[in-house]
Amino acid sequence: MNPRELSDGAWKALLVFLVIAGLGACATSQTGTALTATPTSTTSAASGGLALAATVTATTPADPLAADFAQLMSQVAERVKPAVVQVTNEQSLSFASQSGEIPVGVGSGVIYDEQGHILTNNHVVESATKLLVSLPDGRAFPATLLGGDARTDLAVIQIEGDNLPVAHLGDSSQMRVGDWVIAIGNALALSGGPTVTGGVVSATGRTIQEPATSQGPGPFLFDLIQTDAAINPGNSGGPLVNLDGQVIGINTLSGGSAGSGVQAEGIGFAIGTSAAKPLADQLVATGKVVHPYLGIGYVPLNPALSARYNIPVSYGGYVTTVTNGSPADQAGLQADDVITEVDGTKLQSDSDLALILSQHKPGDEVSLTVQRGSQTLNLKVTLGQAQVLAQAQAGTN
Amino acid sequence: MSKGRLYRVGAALLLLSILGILAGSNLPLSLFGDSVPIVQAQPAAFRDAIYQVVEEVKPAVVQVTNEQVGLAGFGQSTAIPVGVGSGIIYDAQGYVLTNNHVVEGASKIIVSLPDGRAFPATVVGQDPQTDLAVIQIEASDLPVAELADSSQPAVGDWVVAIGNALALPGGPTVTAGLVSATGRTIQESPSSNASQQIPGSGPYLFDLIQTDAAINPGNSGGPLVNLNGQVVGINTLGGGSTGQGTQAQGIGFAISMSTAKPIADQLVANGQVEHPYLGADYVALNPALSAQNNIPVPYGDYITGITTGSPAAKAGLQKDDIITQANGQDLTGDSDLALIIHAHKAGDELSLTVRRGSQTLTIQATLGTTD
Repeated sequence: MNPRELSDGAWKALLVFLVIAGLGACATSQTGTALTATPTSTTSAASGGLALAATVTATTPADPLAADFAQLMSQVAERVKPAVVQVTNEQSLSFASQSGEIPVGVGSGVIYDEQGHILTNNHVVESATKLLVSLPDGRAFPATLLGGDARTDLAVIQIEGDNLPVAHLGDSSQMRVGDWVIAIGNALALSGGPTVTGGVVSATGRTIQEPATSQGPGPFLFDLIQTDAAINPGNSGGPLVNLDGQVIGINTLSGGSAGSGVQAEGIGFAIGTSAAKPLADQLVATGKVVHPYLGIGYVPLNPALSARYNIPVSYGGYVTTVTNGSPADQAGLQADDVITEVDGTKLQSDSDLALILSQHKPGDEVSLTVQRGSQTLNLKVTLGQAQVLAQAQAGTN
Repeated sequence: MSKGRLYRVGAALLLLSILGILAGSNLPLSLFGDSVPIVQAQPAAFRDAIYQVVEEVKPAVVQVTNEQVGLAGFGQSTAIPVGVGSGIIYDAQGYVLTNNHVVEGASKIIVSLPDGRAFPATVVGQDPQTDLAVIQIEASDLPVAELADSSQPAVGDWVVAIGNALALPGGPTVTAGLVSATGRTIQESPSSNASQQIPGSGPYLFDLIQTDAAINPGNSGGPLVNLNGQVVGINTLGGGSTGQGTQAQGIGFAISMSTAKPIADQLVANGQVEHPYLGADYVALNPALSAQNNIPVPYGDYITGITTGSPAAKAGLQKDDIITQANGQDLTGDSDLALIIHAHKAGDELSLTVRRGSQTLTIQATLGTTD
């Protein structure tokens, strides 16, 4: 036998080995995604399932990987649900000689770190004298309000407990229209654990004004994720979750309240975590959020509006009022100016102006590119500080 | 061939095929040593399906703004927006398919694309009977969506609705759901839009795809898309309310492409569509209604009016006649007669069995055309 060749026996052994390896390769190459986390929920009751109230129930499609997808939705829901809490807002009320705390509202929240910090909406905890947090595993804790911000409708509360389930915050800016999401929360305050609904990201970057309250017009919320996963009263403050099991939004509004009394369906909005996380951090650190202040009233432009009014730019802020003595006034902004760029960044959606400004701090200097008639100007503004308790008005900043 | 050579060839072939499988499946090639199997997640084909459809089709979904003149009372003659709907660019020449009710009465139509461009549009043709219209914009480099062929999607198929729900600024809304049913017939109200459906008195829409993908005011005229990115329907009606005023959820209707494509082609070719026409207004009877009104038959179409000079008038049909059969078919459902007429052409003759008082007559009516 030539010493540089393998013996017949060796080739036979190699062949057998390769057959076995080949079978293994075939088997594993068909495997879909496997989540590494094991479900921790002890709740045995089946939760809501997909919100698609189909006249026909979805049957298993021919695509073999789609079966994995169906399981993926429920696996993600089971993994995150334990960290979705019910937040009960109790207030002191006195009738005649009786007084005490009674529950005036129920919403949702999500435990996002091991220290028991819970992210929720400000409107869920507003005016509470006592906050009660209940977990799906049956445990209940009193909660401390660390801070709430009416302008962004976010709040952070905290509970003290051992072995708390946690749902981590992800990066909402990675979400794409058409991606699947799951909403988890205490819809209609139904007893027996939170509700799970599923749907897709319908749009990103939405700007919606919250409904008015007895205290005045609602604040504008920016850069919202829109979804057709069912969001109902009671869902407020609960998480919107991606298929990697990360919280990418805080469910805040359902479409029914999107103005003009129109009954909408399949339209809900969540505050993206990319915006919410830094605000949550500020609330934990200082108890409040400091907002930069410009001092203008403006109408956000979009292509249809610009085309209609013959404004030469598709997007921007059309200034309607300039507050006397404000930073905008001092910088020389005037009514009828159109702000087209901030620090050289062209405005490309109708919430860009507010969004970019909101990323600044009081004291920051920003450069505004302004269209005044046929002139293009560059104005430098030093941002002031907004009053913390003032209700935001239509397109003001 | 020696055994050794056979084993060598066999091993070589097998090794190559294993490498091929591994290369195609993203698994690591090391079969030796590494004991931790790093199974890289294959994106589940269905997981990204909706996203892929959105990427492909959304750029061609336009906002259609209907502006009308003369509503302000100060002698103004500027056009102001009275309604917003959706449309789909389906041809590089700038043809946009939408609902007739989106563009009806407009003195000016503005079409805005998700990419930020906006254009005035001209009406190429309108068909109130099918609630479809084709408008046209002049522009280059337009995104274009593919219209599906005449085959219907299957019940249970996933579909994606794209359109300007609630006229939310910042681009269209995407919702997903299933085909709940096909071949539905719904009667529109005269000034119907997705939020106010009052049963009765408008044209019958046939061959509708029913879906639970959320369809809201503003979605009208926009596309219903299958997972291949083809437009299978034009979203036209939201769930609205049932007769008792209950708010329905998850019930929307799209005109199927098997109806819409031929209509669009006719509108582009002729600016209008002719439909077979009889010219009788009627109320569909049912046993309860007949009993309450002492009508001697439980089912049939009770004629309440005849249009002067119409095919019905020429055939000798009269008010208070009850049509009980058309071409031998008993008329027991509301839409039976409308469906039969819809299946015929102008010039076709219908043999109608008519109850007049205590007499039963056979009347031949030759269908005409709508304007």
